[in-house]
Amino acid sequence: MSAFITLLVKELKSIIRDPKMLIAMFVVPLVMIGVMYGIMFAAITQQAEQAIRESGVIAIIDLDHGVWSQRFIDYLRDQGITFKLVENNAEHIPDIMSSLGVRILYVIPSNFSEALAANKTAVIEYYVWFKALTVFEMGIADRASELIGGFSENITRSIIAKSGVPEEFVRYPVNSTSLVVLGTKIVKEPEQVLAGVLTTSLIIPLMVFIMLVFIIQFAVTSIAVEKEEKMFETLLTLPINRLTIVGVKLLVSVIIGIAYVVIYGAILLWFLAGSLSAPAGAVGGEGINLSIVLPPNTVYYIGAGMIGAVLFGLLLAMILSLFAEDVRTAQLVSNYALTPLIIMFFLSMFIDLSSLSYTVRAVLSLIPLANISFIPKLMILGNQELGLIASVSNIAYAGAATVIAYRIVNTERIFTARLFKKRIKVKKR
Amino acid sequence: MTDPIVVVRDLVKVYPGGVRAVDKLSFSVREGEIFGLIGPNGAGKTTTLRILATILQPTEGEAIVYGYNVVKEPDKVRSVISYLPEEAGAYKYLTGLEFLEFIASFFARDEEEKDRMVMEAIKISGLGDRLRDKVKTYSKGMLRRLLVAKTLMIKPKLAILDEPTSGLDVVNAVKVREAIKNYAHEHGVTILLSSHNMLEVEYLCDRIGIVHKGRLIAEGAPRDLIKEHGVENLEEVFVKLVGGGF
Ligand SMILES: Nc1ncnc2c1ncn2[C@@H]1O[C@H](COP(=O)(O)OP(=O)(O)OP(=O)(O)O)[C@@H](O)[C@H]1O
Ligand SMILES: [Mg+2]
Repeated sequence: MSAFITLLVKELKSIIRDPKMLIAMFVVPLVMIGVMYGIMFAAITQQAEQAIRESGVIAIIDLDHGVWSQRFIDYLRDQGITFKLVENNAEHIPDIMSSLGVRILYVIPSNFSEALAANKTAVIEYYVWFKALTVFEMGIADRASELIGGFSENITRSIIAKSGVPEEFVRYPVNSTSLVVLGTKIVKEPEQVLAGVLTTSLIIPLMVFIMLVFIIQFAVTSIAVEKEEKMFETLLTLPINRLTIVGVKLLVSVIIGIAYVVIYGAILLWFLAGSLSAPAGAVGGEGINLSIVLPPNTVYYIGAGMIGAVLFGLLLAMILSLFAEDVRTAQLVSNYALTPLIIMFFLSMFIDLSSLSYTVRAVLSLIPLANISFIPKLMILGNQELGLIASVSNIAYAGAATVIAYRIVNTERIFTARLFKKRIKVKKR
Repeated sequence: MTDPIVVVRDLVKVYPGGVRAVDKLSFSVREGEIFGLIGPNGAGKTTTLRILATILQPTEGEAIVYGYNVVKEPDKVRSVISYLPEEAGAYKYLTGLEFLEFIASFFARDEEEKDRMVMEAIKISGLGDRLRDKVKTYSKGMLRRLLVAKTLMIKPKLAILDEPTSGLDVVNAVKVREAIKNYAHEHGVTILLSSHNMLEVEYLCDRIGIVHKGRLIAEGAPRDLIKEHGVENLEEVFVKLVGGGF
């Protein structure tokens, strides 16, 4: 039997039988990720509400000047919406929106009243300005379509009341097409944009992050268990490659980490689908055409950055685990490492890069792991070189960590490395 | 039987804190013999054994095991040694048998050889049916016997035992000593051990090295050393050399 399989079998046995490993497997990740999810869900909900409040001022370009367009405007007024009527139509829509500072702009086409009068479905175009590219802007898009939906229903009711026409016929007299303003570009299909932004800046990094949280603390604990069981010294003298000893533990933690990612990913999708009415299918990655939104290199940058980040995380886990003496210090060590990571990660979700100076963006793009979620934003903002730096920096960190790990594993440091200075041994006997 | 299997030459180990644990230590162990390193607490015995077991790296000097340099060819050294650390444990959630099988898997070429190793360990340990229980239920003495057994069962070229009988009561210690002695002579395994117990080394060892403050102050067969210093037993040799001041 190969050494690898022997170690793997032993590892699995200890997971099943050793309460310490059970704690590392379930309690710590559940608490850690649970708290993280709690904070995140609360933050998303709060930000979504904030976005709705921000969308309070709506710009309207009325090309119709008819009975029905007036009725739409009256409807908005009844809803307590503050709006600005914009006369000038020659200007570029993004310019109008940024000069007025509005996040939603409705364009009522010139044939609007005519169409409705002829019992034909009319269309209102709405533009949503995704300024910060945080996921919370989904709330704005929701708001924009909600108002049209509400108006639509309102008309339905009055038509039904007037003519006695069956409701099914006139269920949706007014439809909408929606567009997104990204920088100075206008993009159709906001769902694609949202799905793209969500996938690249939230879901994938979050899943990688959850995996790292798990891997780091699990690997650190399981090496610490070897030391606590006083088996580490023996293991180091067995005729096996030392990287195998650590590698098996990392492999086990990666496998279990993937299981966690699947579970937590499902919870996240369920939450997003419920609270932000994001189309779950689109978020799941089906049919997302990122090239609509993102510069063509983005996917490669994210992919390379992610690989670098995962490798970096694995190596970090390995290095940290060698410093842990017992399970208690192991948990301490992994908390030391994970807390800044968690903070960085949250920052990366909430930061509106567009409002920061180039220097600050450059500094942020160097933060390991967290910078992955910056990549799509940087690319859209036109800082392609920073996107590249963010991507490459993770690989560079992984490289540096490899050198350090190699030096520790193949020297006596694997045995003598300690986080806390050892107390002078009191002589026994 | 005269080829040295372990050669230690001018070995120096200075710990990062500046402690000079081993100071120009030289000795050699011949093939097939039981060699004992004895010395007071802090003499540098464990440090020396750890260097030979490729866990620590020497600051100066060299250490050769079975022709392999411990610094340059640690992998080769690991393939010919079996090491019992001073403070060793076993996985508490495995049974004694599972633990023995686990260790044997790294050395055996096939299942048959593995079974033979485990059978051997059952004999050495004398733990009988208790081997089917989880290690966490073992007493200190039982654990030590399990560990001695796992170290010897693989028939290494060199077994390195750091205080093999530490923590054992008289009866258990005698059993373990017998097991070591019989095993070594039966299979021609070379053994390098450390101990505080003069009776133990007198009974067990073909030759001993007395270490004090990281240096070797005497080397030879116990009987020769006793004769040489004109005393009754090893303990007196030890006190005479090291001085009564500890
Ligand atoms: N990791 C370490 N860091 C610093 N100093 C150490 C370390 N390990 C041992 N020492 C010191 O090195 C010296 C030799 O220790 P060593 O453990 O080799 O002695 P020993 O002969 O095995 O003693 P004992 O009989 O108590 O087991 C002691 O002074 C000890 O304090
Ligand atoms: Mg010692």
